[in-house]
Amino acid sequence: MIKHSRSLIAACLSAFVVLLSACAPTPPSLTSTSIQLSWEHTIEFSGFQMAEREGYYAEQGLVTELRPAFSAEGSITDAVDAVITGKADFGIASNDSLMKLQAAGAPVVAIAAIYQRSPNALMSLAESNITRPEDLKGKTITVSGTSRIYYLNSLLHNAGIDLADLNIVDRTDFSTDELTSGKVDALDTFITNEPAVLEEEGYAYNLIIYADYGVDGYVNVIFASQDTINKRPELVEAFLRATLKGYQAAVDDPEKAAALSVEYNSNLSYETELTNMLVSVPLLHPNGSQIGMMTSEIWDLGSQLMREAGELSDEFDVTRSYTLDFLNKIYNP
Amino acid sequence: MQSDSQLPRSSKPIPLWRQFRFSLILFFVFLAVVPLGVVSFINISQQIEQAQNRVKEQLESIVELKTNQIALWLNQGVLALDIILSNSRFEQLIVTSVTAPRVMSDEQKDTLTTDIRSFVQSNPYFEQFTVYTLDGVIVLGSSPTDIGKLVTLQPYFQPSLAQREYTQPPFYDISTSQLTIIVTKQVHNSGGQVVAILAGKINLSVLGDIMTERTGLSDSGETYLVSRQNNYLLTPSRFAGYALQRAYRTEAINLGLQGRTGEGIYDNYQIPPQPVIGVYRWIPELEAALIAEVNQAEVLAGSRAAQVNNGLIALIVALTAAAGGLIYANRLSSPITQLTHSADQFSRGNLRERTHVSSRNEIGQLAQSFNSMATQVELRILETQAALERAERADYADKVKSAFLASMSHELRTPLNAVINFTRFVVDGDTGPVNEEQVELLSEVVKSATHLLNLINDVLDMSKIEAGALVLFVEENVDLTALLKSVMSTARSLIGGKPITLETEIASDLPRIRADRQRILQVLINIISNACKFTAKGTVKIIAKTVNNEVFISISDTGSGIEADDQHLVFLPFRQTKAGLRQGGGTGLGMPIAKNLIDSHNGRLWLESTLGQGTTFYISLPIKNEKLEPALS
Repeated sequence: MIKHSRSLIAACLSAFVVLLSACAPTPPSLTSTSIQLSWEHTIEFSGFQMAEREGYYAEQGLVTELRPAFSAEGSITDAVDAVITGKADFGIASNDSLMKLQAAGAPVVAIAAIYQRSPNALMSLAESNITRPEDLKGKTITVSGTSRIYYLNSLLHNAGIDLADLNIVDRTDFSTDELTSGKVDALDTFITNEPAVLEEEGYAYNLIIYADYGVDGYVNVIFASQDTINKRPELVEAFLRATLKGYQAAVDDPEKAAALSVEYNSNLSYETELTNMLVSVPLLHPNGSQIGMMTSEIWDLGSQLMREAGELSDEFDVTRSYTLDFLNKIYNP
Repeated sequence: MQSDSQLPRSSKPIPLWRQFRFSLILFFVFLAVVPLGVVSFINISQQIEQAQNRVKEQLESIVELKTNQIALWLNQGVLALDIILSNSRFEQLIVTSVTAPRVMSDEQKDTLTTDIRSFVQSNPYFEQFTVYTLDGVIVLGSSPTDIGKLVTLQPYFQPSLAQREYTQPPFYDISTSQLTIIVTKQVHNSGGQVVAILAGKINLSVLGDIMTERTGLSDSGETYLVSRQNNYLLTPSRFAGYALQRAYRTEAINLGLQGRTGEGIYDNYQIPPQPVIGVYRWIPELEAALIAEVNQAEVLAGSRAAQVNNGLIALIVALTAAAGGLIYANRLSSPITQLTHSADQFSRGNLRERTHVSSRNEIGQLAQSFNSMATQVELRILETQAALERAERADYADKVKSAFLASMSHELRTPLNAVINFTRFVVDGDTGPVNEEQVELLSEVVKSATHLLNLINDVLDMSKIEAGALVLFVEENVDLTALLKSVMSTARSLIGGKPITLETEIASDLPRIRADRQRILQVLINIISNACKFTAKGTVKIIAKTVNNEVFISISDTGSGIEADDQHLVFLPFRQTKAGLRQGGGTGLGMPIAKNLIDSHNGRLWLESTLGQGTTFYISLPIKNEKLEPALS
């Protein structure tokens, strides 16, 4: 009797399971998308790495290709180019370079900021005793690309120092060798990147952090083409949702994030990446803000710095450089 | 008597679990342990609850203490800033350095810097002091590298302008990547206007000291602060391996960070999570949850001793109950066993067996009933045995009587036959000439001897009938017609010269019947000879016919008849009617024998008679007569 009823229950269960599986939604085909990173894989992109590895993209029905900026041959892909030409749906760029291209007519719009405060800094060896902008007078410093010159300009301007008092050279070597060999007195850096390398190599150093002197901006905004934003807002939202969740996971567990970055880029050291992640936390998630959030304050400041440097005309409408629509939709539905 | 194969049911050993004593022991143990278990459970639950409540109260007071210590500590920071600014010379220098930096001498500037540094050194609450303008530019600082920096984007900047005193809850300082607490105080000029802000960066290690100080906490207890900033630890765990900068989420942390205050039992932040009793409180000044926790295992350790005690008590009680159960079961079951043994013995035939159960309870009653039953059964069996013995003895006597009668009939008849036959020889003159007188005398001898022989035969028959020893020699197909013809010829010779007409009316379809031919003949001759004997003149008539399933025979005469009062005597042995007595002769046994013979044939014999007119005897015999048995029952 018991046996009989058991088999009856089993039969009912299996019928139920069959019904359930019949009702269960078949997994929708995943949408392919891609993001052009602005650097090689580091902890800076831990959110993307987490989102991919932890399946947050898949949750949103996406398969996302993460493309580092450096190819195996050493060529560098420009993210704005890649997005404009449709090679990638999303890209990462600094707010100043983005604004400059937008002013030139590039149809791209920022949708979120990875670092909400600028990690830009000038790094020097401790023995050089360069601790304040004034100390830069007569020194040789190396900066990469034109955009960081605006930062330097503003910093020196605020400190009342003439740019001509400094010996500025273009940064072509992306290691810290020039600094440690004494070739240059200071180099521009992200506090989230090279200081940890130098520390690991056993050097004492000083940092002049631009943000401390009111020179701030977004060094890595996520952007998409105006076309994508207009025509595929659901893709933009899904991608952003998964990415922000990835960054939240990285902030929640810096050790895991560091380990993951090392998996993506075996040239990295876990300790360095962990240090950099901990340095990144206040930038990723500053006091009272949400991950990925942007403010008009920083955008205004950025455009103002650019105008002061003569890089932007007065007519440039910075409010069209970015949209908070997606962030607001995610955080304040 | 029972056969041996049926006996052993009670003799077979009963399996333990079916034994009365086993279930009794079980019952006793159950009865003892269950209430004890319930009481223990309630007791232990209460103890646990009490212990938990004690711990909660303790944790709450610790949280209260820590909250006060934190408030005191933060207040001391504000007080320290007050003390700094209470030095009017120093305040004046600050005002001057902000409002008119150019008028300050290098000496004054050095003094100011030295003063600020000395404050830091003398005041362990602060790591750093800065003075910034209302534009957010740092003009003075314990660290010279800070001078010239902008604080406009720092979270404390706007509140510090708006409030006379302000404590910035922990936030991440980008340049140090550390959670930082800043206390600010506005600096006024002589006109009472705010001209600058004095800000002190609080040394968080003091907070760490407050939180890791474990007065009043047990071994596994700890207190810590979790910041609203990413759910990171504001003060370190006292256990190794838990990074400050990692999101910690537990029930208490989540509720605490939602601004709630309370207590609970939950799994804490550790890996693997430990069940703890915890109290949480939202500390608004720090935007952090203050948690005090104690491992639940430690709280329960006290009640574990009680649990062990209770377990031991339960064990002792269970053993006592089992022993009690065993004793009681024995008290109950031993009379039953004794009774069973007695019943067993009794059923084996030992009728003298009595049980000696002396209890006064129901089992004693049962034993008494058993004993009286045994007595009754024994009595009945003895009576039956006696009856059987008597029956056996009677049987034996009967056999002896039969043997006696048989031998007597043989022993009597043989000499009588010799007397009769030899006398006849003499009468017939075979032995020589005899005269008339001799013939007459000898004929009388023959007559008397023949009468004696008949008497003997009748007595023999009667005794056999009375002893139930008469055996019928049953034949199938007895021809009654032939029998009746033979009877008629006998009748003719009996009538002799008397003026009697002999009439017969025998049905032609008279069936053959199942009967003892000789005995039926004996009955018929007996009746017909009586008819002839008692009829002087007239008619003797025999009628035989079939009526239903019976043969019906009537023999009627026109003789003297029998008085109504005498009619019932006809069938009684050794009794004769008056007419019979008058007529003389006969043994008085003929008709009783005839009646018994017809009865034994399942038939009927009766008579109708009118004094002076004649008598009719009726016989009815069943034709089939399947029930007819060879012997009289």
